[in-house]
Amino acid sequence: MTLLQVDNLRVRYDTPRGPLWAVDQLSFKLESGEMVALVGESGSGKSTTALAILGLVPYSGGVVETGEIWYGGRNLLALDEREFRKLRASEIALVFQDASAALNPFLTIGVQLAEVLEVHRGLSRREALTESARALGDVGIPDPESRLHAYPHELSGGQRQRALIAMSLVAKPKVLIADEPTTALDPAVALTVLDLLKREREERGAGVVLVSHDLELVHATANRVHVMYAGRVIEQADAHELFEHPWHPYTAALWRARARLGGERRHRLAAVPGAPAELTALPTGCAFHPRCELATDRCRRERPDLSGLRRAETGMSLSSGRRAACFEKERVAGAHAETLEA
Amino acid sequence: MSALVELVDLSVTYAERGGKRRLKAVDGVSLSLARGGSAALVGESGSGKSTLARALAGLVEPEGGSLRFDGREVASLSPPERFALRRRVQLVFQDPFASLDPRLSVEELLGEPLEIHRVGDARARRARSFALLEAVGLSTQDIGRYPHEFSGGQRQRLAIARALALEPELLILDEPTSALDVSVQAQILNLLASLRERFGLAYLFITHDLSLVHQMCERVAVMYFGRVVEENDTAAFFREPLHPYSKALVALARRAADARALLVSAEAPSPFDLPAGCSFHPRCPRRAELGSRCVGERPALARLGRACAPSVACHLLDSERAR
Ligand SMILES: Nc1ncnc2c1ncn2[C@@H]1O[C@H](COP(=O)(O)OP(=O)(O)O)[C@@H](O)[C@H]1O
Ligand SMILES: Nc1ncnc2c1ncn2[C@@H]1O[C@H](COP(=O)(O)OP(=O)(O)O)[C@@H](O)[C@H]1O
Ligand code: SF4
Ligand code: SF4
Ligand SMILES: [Mg+2]
Ligand SMILES: [Mg+2]
Repeated sequence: MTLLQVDNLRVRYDTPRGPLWAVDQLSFKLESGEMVALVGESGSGKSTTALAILGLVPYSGGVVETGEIWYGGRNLLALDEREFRKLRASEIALVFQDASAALNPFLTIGVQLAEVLEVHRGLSRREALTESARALGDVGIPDPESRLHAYPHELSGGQRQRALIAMSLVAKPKVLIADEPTTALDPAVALTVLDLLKREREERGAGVVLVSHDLELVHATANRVHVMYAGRVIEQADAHELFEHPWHPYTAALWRARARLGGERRHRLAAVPGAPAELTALPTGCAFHPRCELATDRCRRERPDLSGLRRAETGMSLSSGRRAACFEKERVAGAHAETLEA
Repeated sequence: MSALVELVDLSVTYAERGGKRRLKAVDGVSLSLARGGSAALVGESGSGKSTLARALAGLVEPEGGSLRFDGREVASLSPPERFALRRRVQLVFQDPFASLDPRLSVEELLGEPLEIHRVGDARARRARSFALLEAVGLSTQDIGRYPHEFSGGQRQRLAIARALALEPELLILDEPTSALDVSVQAQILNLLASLRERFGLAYLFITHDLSLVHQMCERVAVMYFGRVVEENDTAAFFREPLHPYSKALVALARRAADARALLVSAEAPSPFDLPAGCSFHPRCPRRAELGSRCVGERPALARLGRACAPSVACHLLDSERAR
């Protein structure tokens, strides 16, 4: 079942250096129980996409120029703020990354959790507190009834992070937006957070949009991946296909550039040359061309569309939902096929 | 040849801000770093890595223990000698946005350390700035620009150039790439690797990302709440980490299926209220094997053989220790 569908999203920010399109022509679907990842370098538009799904773009000073975001038969972008506020937290929730910024230091954990339930589920304070204790227990906080009375600073860092996750999950939202949920966490706590997200997917069929720049994490946890570059999706595929057999030179380069734990220690890493594109001064044609080894004159002139692979003999498009925006994707994909055969 | 840096039982304590409690951020650390060597310092946040780095660079005063640089006890140096020593140890921080004064041009940023240490005249300093830019892969045309005009990766190059200005022997790199994208991180790590070869530098590389350790360093030390619990050759460490905490860290980094079983709790204790005995014991899956010993007695870091053999602080390894 499709939970969420984003169609042709385009978001503009007006900056002192001129307008920029942080997200452009972005479309994707999120199925029940699925984790879809958005990956890419900083500034590629991942967080802006997350904000759009949460209806928060106007609060960050941006403008949604075009697009539809379908959820439960309604286009979220056509909702007014009051309706959107009802959906947020109850149906579509953000998994916060920074516990110190997102929890109110003056309110107990119990009150903060209970408020979500009172507002969104219409529970009484008593019922809400009982539910809140259960939510804290669910995320592995010991002795949850007594922890309801704790203030955020009275919890350890790891517990605060879990309390925050409990807050995202307490109203049992169907769609979870996790923007770099583990980046600031120690690995053991990061693993518990990922376990919690997995449980929500498996037990309740929640869908997760994971925003991350950690390719290994995405490879290990996501079902499908959308790679973004300069505001656009430049490749989309199932997680294992994407990294093992990329079609886009940027995906291939990112995957090669990471340091690896296993295997031979290499003398040098395979760095991607240059710096991420400046959105206020986008290169012509394919935005990746200044950093691309395969760039041709055509790449400097024309912008490639997101499309499937063509089989040379037939000119027919191959394979399911896989797409890449590159004139040379047959070559990139072929290069892998060759290495595989060799 | 003697070690470049030798720490013996070094401790650093902070007074809690606004409170009466004291926090032993570095607690009796003994470590040595070879001339031209590369060692990594890893561990969870709050384990004392940055504090140890700052103590090495002379930016915080150790509370106790000994810090020797090039065979000489740093505490016994005269102020001018200490000042001169600062040249030889330089720090590069995680955040290139915060560590470079935005009001200074590249030329001023690179010339400032030379000026402070009275190295060369204006012309020599300018020439040195050009050479530094070239060494870190920036253009000499960048000399008049300001930090905000550079990307994150370029800024980190600039910070590295500045750290190299005084021809140090030891570069302490405190999470130098954790604010950068993977693609750019690789550029900076490659640059650091070639600078080390070119100038014979020693590196102390602080990171929470074990895959970088594998890439960058010959030795690795694991810290847990102010103490080093394992010191080992990198390749051996990744083949077989010895301390129960190291085993957990490596398994987590590998996303190994059994990683969850290697830590009793994901939760770390409060640094103000550390467990007695081995401070890792509440999270250690193996403490039961030793009865009450882990709760009652703190294991010392001890070498499991000669010279380059690993050192581990765990009672389980008692039997393997050299007599
Ligand atoms: N509030 C804002 N005002 C102006 N520009 C913004 C704002 N938020 C983000 N941007 C710009 O939009 C682009 C995409 O940013 P973001 O969505 O945060 O990317 P990511 O999460 O992939 O790093 C960047 O160039 C960023 O500078
Ligand atoms: N200036 C300071 N004042 C008080 N406590 C500090 C200060 N700097 C660090 N600490 C504390 O010392 C401990 C070690 O911190 P740090 O050396 O930064 O660890 P790491 O770099 O491994 O994360 C932590 O508990 C931290 O909160
Ligand atoms: S379209 Fe051209 S420049 Fe862009 S990624 Fe493909 S080959 Fe490279
Ligand atoms: S000393 Fe005991 S508690 Fe500490 S690491 Fe070793 S076995 Fe575990
Ligand atoms: Mg972001
Ligand atoms: Mg630190």
